[in-house]
Amino acid sequence: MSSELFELPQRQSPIGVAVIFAKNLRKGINIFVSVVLVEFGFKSSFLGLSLPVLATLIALLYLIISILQYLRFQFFVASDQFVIERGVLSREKINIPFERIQTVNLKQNVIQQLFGVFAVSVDTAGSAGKEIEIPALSKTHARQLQEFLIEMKTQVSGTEMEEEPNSAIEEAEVSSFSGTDQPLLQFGIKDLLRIGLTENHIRNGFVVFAFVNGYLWQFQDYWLELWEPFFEENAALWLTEMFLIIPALLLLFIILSILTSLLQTFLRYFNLRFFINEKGAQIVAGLLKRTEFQIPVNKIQYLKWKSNPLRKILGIHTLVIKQATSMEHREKKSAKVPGCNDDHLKTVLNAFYPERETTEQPLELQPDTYFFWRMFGFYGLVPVVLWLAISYVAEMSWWWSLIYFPIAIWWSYRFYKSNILSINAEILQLQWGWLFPSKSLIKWYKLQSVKYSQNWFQKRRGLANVIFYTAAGREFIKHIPQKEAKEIYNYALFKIESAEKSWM
Amino acid sequence: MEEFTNESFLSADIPKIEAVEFEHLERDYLYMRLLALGLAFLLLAGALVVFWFKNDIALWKLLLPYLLVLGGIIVLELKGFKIKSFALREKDVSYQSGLIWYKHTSVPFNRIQHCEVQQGVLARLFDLATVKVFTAGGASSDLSISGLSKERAQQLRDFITQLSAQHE
Repeated sequence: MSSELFELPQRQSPIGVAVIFAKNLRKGINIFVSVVLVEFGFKSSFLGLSLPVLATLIALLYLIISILQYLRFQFFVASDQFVIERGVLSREKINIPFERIQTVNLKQNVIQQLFGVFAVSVDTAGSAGKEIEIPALSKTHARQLQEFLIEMKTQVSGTEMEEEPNSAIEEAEVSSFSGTDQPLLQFGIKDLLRIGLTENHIRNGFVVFAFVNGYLWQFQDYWLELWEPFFEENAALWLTEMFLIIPALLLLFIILSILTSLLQTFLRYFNLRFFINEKGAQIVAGLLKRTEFQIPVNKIQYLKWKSNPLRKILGIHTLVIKQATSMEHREKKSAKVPGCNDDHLKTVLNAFYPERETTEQPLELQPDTYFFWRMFGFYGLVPVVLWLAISYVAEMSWWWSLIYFPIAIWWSYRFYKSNILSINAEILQLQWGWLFPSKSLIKWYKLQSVKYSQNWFQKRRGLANVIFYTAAGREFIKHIPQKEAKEIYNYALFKIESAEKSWM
Repeated sequence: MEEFTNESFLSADIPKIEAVEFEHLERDYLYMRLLALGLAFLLLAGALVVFWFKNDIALWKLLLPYLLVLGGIIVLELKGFKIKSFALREKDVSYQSGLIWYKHTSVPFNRIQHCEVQQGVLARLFDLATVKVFTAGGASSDLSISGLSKERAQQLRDFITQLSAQHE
């Protein structure tokens, strides 16, 4: 690819004005609604201007700011770095050395889709990790920039790996997957429904509840006023009908939760296509906001897949491809593929983890029974004793604890049993969770540091924890015998330090 | 693929971190921590005196737990200080600490992004400094060694930076 394309300072596609304007306007409306409307009411006026006039004026001001922002936003390539200059009042110059670039992704929100432009986001995973986004480029231009940056990055970091013959293939850029490639996984409406209905509804429900709660209270003056007469008249009735209202509210909560899950799934995973080959992975998905992840194989820090009780029945998992990102973006930016069955997983693992298939038996380690007793004490014994004490004092029914106790024991036992660390010479695999099982597969050399920890109780029993840190997060095993913990610790360091391959 | 058994792949000729001699921190660091502790307990004592004046309570009921907690923490500090130590090997840096909650972390040089020296207000009085080691993707430092003399801290930083730069 020629770099001349990007050598001269250049602006975004002119449509950028619209995209920037829309973004500014949304921020503005938010402020407008929460500050002006809530504080001063609909009929307020400033300097003799009515609200609609004022709003128009502000919008015009925003338009001018947006045009200025567009004009002052320039990017180009200077020797070994990518440079962005932006800012209207205070000029900002961002230099990104190619070797610092972690991922380059294309994104589209509604506005960008409407105008057919793409945002290119560049993530640098450093300690001061921040994400830099160029909001509006035409499709070909965005793609060129993405490929160019990925290539420059590989060239810069590829120099030290020349001794290794194999790495040449690995380090080659991911050829962008053309339309003729068969996706490993493609979602239709049925798949989306399946995934949406098996989401963790309870969690989603609470998230919505918290959000609505926070948002509604800002406007309580408006809507409470409307309902006040109704509340007053029916207060007595409400109390007597409590028995009806609580189940009704519960039902409403459940329905809302499921609807939210479905909506979220459709928004996020609509028309998902998941491509893989030996060079990397690509995920394209989204209804209003299309996101595209392009992950070269050497950028995969590790793989993790999770499930939940409903999905276990269907035999599907959510595959997470962990990339190096700074902490703040970890949840938002992880590349997820829900709805992978065992065959899909196998294909992915064969492509990215050929080392897994060795003849030797992996070494398996499980936590000590101490772990079970701890869980049992924490989730079984303590709540039950508390419950009994409270029911004795408050004269409430105590037999609930009889039902809870065996469940707690059973759950603690299954959870304890689900923890397995298995290692071979190249890979470690961590497995845990019974209701929400998850498995992580990490190549030793992808680790960045290791921690060994041991509290006073563990020390007396000769147990310890080992925590494995990667550029994409950490995983751990707890309460394993101290001797093995030390061996694993030393082995991890040995594997990292003897690795010649670049890990990021 | 090379043949080997479980036994050999973990414990063959892999260098053992346990075998390394760890270096201790400056004695001044202990005094600094005790001073900080003393200041905090002085404040607490002030609050307790006010409480004692306002309430009709026997003096020993306040004084005894106060002294017990203070004594306990001082003992923990004294004992814990002996554990806090760091080690440099050819290819990594390690730090250990914790009496009740023991922790031991190692970061290989070929995974270090950058390394810096920090100095707090109190540490400046004692001419002490902290070396922080950062790897990729984290928000906080992965390893930090407090209680080094400023000079030693700078030496350590330069040493680590130099060794980690070889892997860039």
